[in-house]
Amino acid sequence: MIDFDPNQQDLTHSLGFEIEQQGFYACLKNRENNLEKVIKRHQVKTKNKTLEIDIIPADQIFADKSESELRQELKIYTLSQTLETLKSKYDYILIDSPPNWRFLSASAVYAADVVLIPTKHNNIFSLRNAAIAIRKYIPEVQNIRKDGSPIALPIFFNGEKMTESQRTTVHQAIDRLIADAKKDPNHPLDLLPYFYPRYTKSRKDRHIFEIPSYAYIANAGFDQMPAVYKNKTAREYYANLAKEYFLQ
Amino acid sequence: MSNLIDIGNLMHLDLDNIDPGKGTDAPSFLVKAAAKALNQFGERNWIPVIVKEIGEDQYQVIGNAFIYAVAEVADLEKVWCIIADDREETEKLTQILSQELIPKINLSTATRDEIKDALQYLIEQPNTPLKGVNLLTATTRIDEAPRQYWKTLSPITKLKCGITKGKKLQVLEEVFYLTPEIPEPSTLLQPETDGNQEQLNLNSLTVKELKAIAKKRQLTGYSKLKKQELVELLR
Repeated sequence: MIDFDPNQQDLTHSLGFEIEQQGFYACLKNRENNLEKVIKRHQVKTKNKTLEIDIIPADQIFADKSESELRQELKIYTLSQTLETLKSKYDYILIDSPPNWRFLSASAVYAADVVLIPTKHNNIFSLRNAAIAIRKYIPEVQNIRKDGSPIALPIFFNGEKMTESQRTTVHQAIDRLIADAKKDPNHPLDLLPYFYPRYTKSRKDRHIFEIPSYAYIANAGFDQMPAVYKNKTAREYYANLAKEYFLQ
Repeated sequence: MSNLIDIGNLMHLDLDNIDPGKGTDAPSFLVKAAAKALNQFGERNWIPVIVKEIGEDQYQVIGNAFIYAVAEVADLEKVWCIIADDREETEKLTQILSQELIPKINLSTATRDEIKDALQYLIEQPNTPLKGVNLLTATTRIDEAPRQYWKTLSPITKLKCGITKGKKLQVLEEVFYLTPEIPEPSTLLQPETDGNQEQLNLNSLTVKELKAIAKKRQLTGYSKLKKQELVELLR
């Protein structure tokens, strides 16, 4: 897992690691720097097995440098090139990216095969931003990469539990986003599969995957380990997410 | 989008990733002495090298090749560059702007002043082959000649202005190019009284064009004539 969100740094802190100075940044800037050195191992031993995740902690330099300074040193494909050597060593590499469309997030999208966008059901801006990412930003990267990647995965809701009336409201909002995207005179796009992956003409299934934010998920930060290690409900939710999005 | 593309950006690039392109013909003294100055005054090339992107992490110098050569001698690992687009016009323009390429003017349409400036530039070059050429005479004769039809610069040698075939004519190619007009056959339908100019015009046409004029004038027996004979016939 790569904490590529240097302003938030949640991933690094919640797993009990320190923010680096000139760690990962130095590796991107100079390909000869040893990438292995910045990779930290998070390990939890249970009775019969050891759970391991490798982490590249957030690097403060990314937050301190201005956008234009970063762009003077790094290219949009630098992250992708740097991670190339790691590809054969891991099953999955997850990059936590900032929630904007600037150099770091664009680099993360450029390096990705698929993009998973968490949204909040009770925030229309969050839904709209997901639609913009799928309609505009991800295609921009596809245009440059020319290999069809990355692909946006269907959005999922991550947040407070939803009431039935909220569900109706959010469905209406999404229906409008889908209709707008279809009517776009310049780049009409069918957003349906990105919002309602199970929807077909005959079965109007508006199912959207959900990970409710229970207290114990937030509390996991205090234990400095992923919530799924400790909590059965969390484990079930995230196992479902993995099955739905990655293990098909 | 600007977020993903580096064109226009100032970037600090590894010298190893930059192909020198055509290189520079600057004297070794200037390169080495400038490299010393670069080392001495902070190692930052404030005037950037202009490069185009030719692949991932691959660049090629298209302008300010001198700065690249200096950075190389100064042993800089990284050099400040501006990324230009990869169009041919951009490369040409960049070299013109960095004074690595002499800009040319269109002699088919140039004004008298433009011709004068260009000739003056050539005459004032050190070791110019145009020594002894009178600027004003040459300007006037070239300006007044039917240069809009010229396909090459060689008619200049017939203007008696001291510019003869060989080196003198060749050096003009450094500053002039031509986009010849095809003369409207109708303007040549009737012989003109100004024989000299007319002949020049006719000489600049192809056999095919001359025959087309002959046909328009409803002449006969021209189909087997050679070019000079056609010119005679139409004069």
